[in-house]
Amino acid sequence: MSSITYFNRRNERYSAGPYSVSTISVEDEYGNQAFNSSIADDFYAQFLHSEFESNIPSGLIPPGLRALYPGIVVFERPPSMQMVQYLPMNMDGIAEYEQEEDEYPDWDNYYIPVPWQIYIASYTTLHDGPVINCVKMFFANEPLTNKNVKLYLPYIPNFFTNATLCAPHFDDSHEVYRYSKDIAGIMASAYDWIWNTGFNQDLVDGVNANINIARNNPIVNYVRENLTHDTISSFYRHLSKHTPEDVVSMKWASPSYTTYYDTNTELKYLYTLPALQQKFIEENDIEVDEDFQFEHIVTYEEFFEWINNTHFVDKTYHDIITSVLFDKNNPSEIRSNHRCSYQNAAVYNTPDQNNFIHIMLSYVNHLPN
Amino acid sequence: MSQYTYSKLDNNILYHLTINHNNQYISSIYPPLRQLITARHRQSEEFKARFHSNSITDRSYASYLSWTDQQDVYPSLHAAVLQVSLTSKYLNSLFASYSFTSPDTDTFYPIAVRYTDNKNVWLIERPPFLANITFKNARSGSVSTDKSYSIWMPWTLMLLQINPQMSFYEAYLLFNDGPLASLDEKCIPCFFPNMYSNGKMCLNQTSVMLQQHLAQVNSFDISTIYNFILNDYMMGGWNADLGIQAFDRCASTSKSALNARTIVLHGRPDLPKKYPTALTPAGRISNKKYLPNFLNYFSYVSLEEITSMITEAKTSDKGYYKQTYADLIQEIESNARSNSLYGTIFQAPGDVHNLYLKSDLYIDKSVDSLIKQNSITEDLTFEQSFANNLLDFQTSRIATEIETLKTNSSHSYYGSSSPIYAYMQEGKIMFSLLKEDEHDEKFLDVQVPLPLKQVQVS
Repeated sequence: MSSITYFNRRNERYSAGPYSVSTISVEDEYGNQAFNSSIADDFYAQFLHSEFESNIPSGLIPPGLRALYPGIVVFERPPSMQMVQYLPMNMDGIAEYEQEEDEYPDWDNYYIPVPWQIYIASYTTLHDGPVINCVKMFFANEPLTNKNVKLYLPYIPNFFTNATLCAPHFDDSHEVYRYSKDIAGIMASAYDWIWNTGFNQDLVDGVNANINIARNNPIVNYVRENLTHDTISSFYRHLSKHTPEDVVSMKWASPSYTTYYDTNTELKYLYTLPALQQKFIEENDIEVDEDFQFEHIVTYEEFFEWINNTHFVDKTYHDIITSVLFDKNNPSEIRSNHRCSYQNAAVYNTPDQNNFIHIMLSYVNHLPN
Repeated sequence: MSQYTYSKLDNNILYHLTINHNNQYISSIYPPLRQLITARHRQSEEFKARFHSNSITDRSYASYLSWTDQQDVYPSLHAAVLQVSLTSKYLNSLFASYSFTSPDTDTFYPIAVRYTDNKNVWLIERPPFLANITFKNARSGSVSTDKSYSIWMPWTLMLLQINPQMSFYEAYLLFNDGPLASLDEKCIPCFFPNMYSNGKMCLNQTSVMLQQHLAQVNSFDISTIYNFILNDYMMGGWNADLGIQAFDRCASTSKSALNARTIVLHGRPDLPKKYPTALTPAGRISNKKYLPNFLNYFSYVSLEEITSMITEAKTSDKGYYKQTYADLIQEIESNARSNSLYGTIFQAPGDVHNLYLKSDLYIDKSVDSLIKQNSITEDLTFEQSFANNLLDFQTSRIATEIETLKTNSSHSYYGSSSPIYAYMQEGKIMFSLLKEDEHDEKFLDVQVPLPLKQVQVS
C-alpha cells in the first residue's frame, strides 16, 4: 500500500494539505521512495497548470452546448419548472439542529418557474480528463442567439452576486469525480451542483438582490408590497404560482462583476470597460481626437455620477464572457472572483483532504512502468 | 514524395507555398489542372519550345523533368500552404476558432451538438421537419424541369469532418427515430437522393461555394458551416445523379421500407399514372420512373411511418447497418489524424498563420478571393497565375531555375530545404536564398526574373 508524504520548501515533512506543497514523495509500505520531486513537478504541470487545455473528450453531449473556450464550457437550458429544496438555516444552524433533534431538518420544497438558464462551467483537466471546478448560472429572456443577450442574476440561494455558485460541500471525492471525464460530464455535474445539492441560507445575496433591486417586475413588486418576516419563502411561494412563460419575459437583477455588490470595486472596474467608456462619450458629446485617453478627460467622480447606481448597469453575455476570459487588467479581486483558477479546483473544493491522495495515487498508477 | 517550399513576401503579406509532388495523386487532382498537366506533357516538344522562348535552357527543362520524376508519371500539385498575415476578418475569425489564447466569443454552436472534438469532427442533431424540395429527374448537368415535393425529414444527425485550413468539408447525413441516446446506436444513412449509400453527402460544388460563402461573410463558425451544408442539400435541388442506393439497402432491413419499395418499384396497377412500374420489360430498374415514384410515395408518407422504417432498420440484426455512431466517429477521427500533416496545424510564430489548402481548391476562385482579401496591392501577377491554373507550372519552373542556380553558384547555400524567399518586383518574381557565410548567415538576393504573364498554355 502506497502512502503520500508532503514536504514544504524547506524539505520538512508537511501534513496540512496541498496548499504549500513543494515536493511530493510517494513511499511504499517499506518507506522506499517511489516518487521524486521531478515527477512531482510533472504532476503540477499536468494537473494544476492545465486549465488552458482546450480539446477535451466530448462524450454524448446533451442538447444545449453553445460554446467551448479553453477551460470553459457554456451551455443553456430552456425555461422550465425547477424544484428548489430550501433549508432556511445556515450550515451552523443545520449542525445545531441535527445535534439537538438527532435528525436532519425538513426541506421547504418550492416548485418554481425559471427562464432561460445560461451555464458557464469551468474545469480543470486531470490526467484522466476534465473535472468541474466552478460554475456560474445566469438567467436570460431568450436563448443565446447572439452575444448581446442580456444576462440576469439567478433568484436562487447559494449564488454570489456575480452569479457564481458557492461550491457545494460533498461527503467524499466520489461525488465530484463520479461524472464522465468529458464535456457531457462537465455539463451534468454543473447542473447537479446547482439543482441537486439543495439550498440553504448560507448565501442568499442573489435572491435578496433580485427582491430588492429588480425593477418593473410584478412578482418582486408583490413581495415588496406584502413583506413578511421570511421574505425569501414568501418570494418563492408567490413565484411558484407562476409559469415559465410568465417569468421568461420579466426583468431581473443585473449580476455584479464582484462577488458581492461591492460598489467601489465594481465602479473601478466599470470605469475601465471600453463599452461603457464609449457610451459615456456618446451620451455626453465628448470630442475624441487621436490623443484621447478616457482617464485623462473623464474623472472617476464624473463617471460615478453618470453611472448613478452600479446595480442597474446591464450586462450582456459578451460583457460577462469577455470579463471571464480576457480581461487580465481587472482588479485582482474581480479577476479571482470571476476566473476560477486552479486554486479553486475540485481538489480544494471538497472538505475531504484525501482527494489529493486519491488523485496522486491515481496518477502514480498511470505512470509508465 | 518530394517537397519544395516557396515564399513570397509582399508588404505585410507572406505567401508561403509548399508543394508536394506525389505521383499517385494525379487522379484526384482538380480536372482542369490534370488536363493542363496531361496536355503539357503530351505536347512536350511545344512545351520545351515555350520554355526556350522564355529563356530557360534545355538543361533546365531536362532537370525539370528529372526533378519531378515525370519520365513515367505526370507530376501533380499535392498541397499548398499559404502563410498570410492576419489582415482579414475571415482569417481572424478562422484563427480565433482554433486559438487557445483568443477564442471566438461572437458565435455559438448549433443548438444540438451531440459530439465534437472541438476542431475537426462535429455530430449535430436536428429534430424532424417538413422539407420542401425540388427534384430534377435527370443528371445534374442536364436541362430538365424541376418538380416540387414536400417530404418529412425525420430526426437527422449530420456528422461533419471539416478542415477549413485545407478547404476540406465532408458530411454524412444520418436518420434516427428519436434523439440520440447513445453513441452505440446504429447509423442509418439518409436514404433520399443525392446521397451515397453510406450516408455520405454528395457535396460536389457545395464545399467550394461554402468556402466562398465563408470568405464573403467573413465568418468562420460551425453553425454557419452546418446550416450552409444542410440548406444547400435541402434547397439546392435533388437530381438523379446518385440514385437511391441507401433506400434499397434500408428495404433489406425494414419491412415497412420493403413494402414501400415494392410499390415504388412495381408501381400500382390501380394508379398507373401516378405510380407506373419502374421495371423495364427486361426486368431492369428504370431510374426515370423509380425516382419519381419514390418521391411521390414519400411525399405522402407521414413522419410516424418514416420513423418506423428507421426503427425497424436499427433493430434488425441482418443487413448493412452494423456501424454505430462511435464506429463512424472513430473512423473519421482516424482519417482526420492521418490528414494532420496537411490540416490540423494552424499556429505559427507572430502574426503569421498557416492556411492549408488542397490543390483542387486553392486554384479556385474562392481562394483567389481569399488572397485578394489579404492583399493590399491590386496588381499581383502571382495571383493571376492562381486564376489561370498555372501555379504548378510556374513553381516547377521556378524550382528548376533555383536548382540550376544553386548548382552553378560559387556560393554555398544551406541544403535543399533552406528557405527560398520570393517577392514581386515589377511583375516579376525575385528570389532570396539564405547564404552560408564564414562568419554570419545572411540573405543573398538571387534575382531570377520570370515573365509570368507571358506564359500561356493552350
